[in-house]
Amino acid sequence: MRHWRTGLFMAAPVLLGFIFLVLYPVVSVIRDSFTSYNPLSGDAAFIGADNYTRLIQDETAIEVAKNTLIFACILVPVNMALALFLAILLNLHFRGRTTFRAIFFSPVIVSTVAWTIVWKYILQDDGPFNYFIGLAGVDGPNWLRDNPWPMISVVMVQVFKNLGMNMIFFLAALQGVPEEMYESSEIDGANRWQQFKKITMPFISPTILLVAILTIAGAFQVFAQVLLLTGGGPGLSTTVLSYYIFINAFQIFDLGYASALAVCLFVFVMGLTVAQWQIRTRWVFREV
Amino acid sequence: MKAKYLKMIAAGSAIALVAFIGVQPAKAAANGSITLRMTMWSSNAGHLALFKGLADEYKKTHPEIADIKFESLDFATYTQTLTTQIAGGKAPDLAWILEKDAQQFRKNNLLLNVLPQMESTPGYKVEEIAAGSLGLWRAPRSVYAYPFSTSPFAIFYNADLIKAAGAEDPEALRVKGEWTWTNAAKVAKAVTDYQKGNYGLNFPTFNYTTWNGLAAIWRGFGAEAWNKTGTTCTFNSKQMNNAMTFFHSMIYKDKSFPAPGVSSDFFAGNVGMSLIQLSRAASLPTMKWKWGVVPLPKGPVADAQAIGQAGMAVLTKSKNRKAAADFLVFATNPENAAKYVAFFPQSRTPLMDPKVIAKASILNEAQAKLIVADGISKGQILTSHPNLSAIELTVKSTLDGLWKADANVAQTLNDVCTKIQPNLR
Repeated sequence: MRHWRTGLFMAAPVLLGFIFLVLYPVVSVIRDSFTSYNPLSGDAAFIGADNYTRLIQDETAIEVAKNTLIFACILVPVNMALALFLAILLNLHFRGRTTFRAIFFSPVIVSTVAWTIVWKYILQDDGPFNYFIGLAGVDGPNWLRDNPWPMISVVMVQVFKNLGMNMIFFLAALQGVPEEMYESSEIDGANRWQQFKKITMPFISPTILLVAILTIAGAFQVFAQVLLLTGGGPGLSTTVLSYYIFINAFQIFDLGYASALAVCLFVFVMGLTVAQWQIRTRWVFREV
Repeated sequence: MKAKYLKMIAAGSAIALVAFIGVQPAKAAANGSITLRMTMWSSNAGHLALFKGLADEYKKTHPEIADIKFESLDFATYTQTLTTQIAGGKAPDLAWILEKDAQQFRKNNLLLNVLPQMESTPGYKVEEIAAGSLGLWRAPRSVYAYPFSTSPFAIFYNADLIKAAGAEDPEALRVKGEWTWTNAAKVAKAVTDYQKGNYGLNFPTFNYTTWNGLAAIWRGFGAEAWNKTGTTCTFNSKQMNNAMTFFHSMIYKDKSFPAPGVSSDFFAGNVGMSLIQLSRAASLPTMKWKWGVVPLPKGPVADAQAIGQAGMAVLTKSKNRKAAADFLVFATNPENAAKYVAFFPQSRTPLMDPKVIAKASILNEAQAKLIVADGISKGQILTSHPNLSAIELTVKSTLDGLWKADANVAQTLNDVCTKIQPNLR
């Protein structure tokens, strides 16, 4: 009994944090999604499932959902492929590899706001990026205004921001692959590609699953980059769901509708994560 | 044994926590103090010094006020930041409110009626405030803000740069009665020099986001965003089409107006003309180049002037409404309102006299009459609407279609009306 009390006491900070900082907000958002809550006036009337009905008919929400999918579909493979490629390169033995690891990891520790503001300056029509490619005779577009470049710019700014973190995950996984597996496969006559496919990939597959879950969930929650780089524009071309939720909540003051959107995003990301977890047994090594 | 230590740590922590919580109110009570906070969109040193001076003076006679803080926010995202603070339960006590937001804030009951404090304060002289200036902020027996800045838009220009480009001086054009948007565009085109990074005209507060400021241009063409009752969109009118086609050609044909994403700074000396207000031009006398100012050019339809207005209001969600309202009344009484004249054209009638303005601001008497007194009497305040939050972003994102070289102006303006009309009814 005493052990039970001690255990509860030790877990209390985390439990209380979870209840007040996670559970309570989630329940509040679900509750608000059935109201017409206006945070400015404080008015909130129960309106049943009206917000959800409206969401299905909202053409802007559908366009925004498409943008979010496009964003995630570009970001996730590019980020993961680049991170894995860099991890493999930086796992090789060469002079200065620690410095390169630090360089690629450094954006992770920079604040997202500072990182994005610097990129906004770099990508201006008359900014440094266009200046430098101009020296090579390339007339660069207005990266943040001329479609389709704004979406690509937002994706790339996000890719380079978090690349280092995924790279470190992959690097740790690569270093966990037993060296003797490569040695014995070499004796059996396996080439580099076969070693990568048959040894490296299976061994690092649990990390690929982890990185995939984190990157996909992160992709659907991107916000600051959109707010600071493009403000969702031009038009709606870079407006993604989390930014659209913000607009509805704090610019249009329709917190009820914003909550309905947030609930849908939550359910979608949760569903995607559960699906990834369920299919892991088919491709993740040592998972049954 | 371990459990004993844990209990001791828990008890110690609890005592420390209780002691900490217990000490906080006691400390506040001992000071008996109130801290007021006002949000503003200016970080101009002169503006801040003015308000800090008023705060210091007020505190001398009001010991209950511990401090009055002034929080400068970015103009482009000012309303968004303010409303996020309000929605998040962190509303400031006082705030500058833009004219475009006046109706929306009133509709949501966010602004405190300060008329009782104004009327009960000896010497406040509410009747001095021009009725036209109070329009957005007044209801029967209520005043929801003091319009501390009623500032006509004007064209401030770099006379040296225009002369060097061989273009005619705007003031000379005005005197001849030829100061029109067409001639202004010619001057702008002449000044534009890609190699030197010189532009003909800029409009810093527009920045391809704050579209309602474009009224400074479109009103000369006889255009409006919506009809007078705010129920029908008129973005798709012929007049608006003419205005936007004109503006679009300045950006993409003449390239005399900086395109989106291109930076320009009038005060750095590489922009011929700048569409700004007096409150943003205070540093002009320190420039090494010769400057001038003229009213907005005449359009093909009207000689229309546009006025930007800022109100100082107490928020109903303030925790110190009474103290905040008392400070507002102090900060805007006749004596203190006179201190604003250096930066902000005033709506108290004695302070609208060109002689008073010329004495306090960077303008001479003739300029003060032309820009401020005539501007206010002829001009109209910028566009506002009770449903602005639902309209504003839609207009902005749809107008983004205009800001490219091959834009279909008529189609884009039609799209604006298609999208916002449901929110105008």
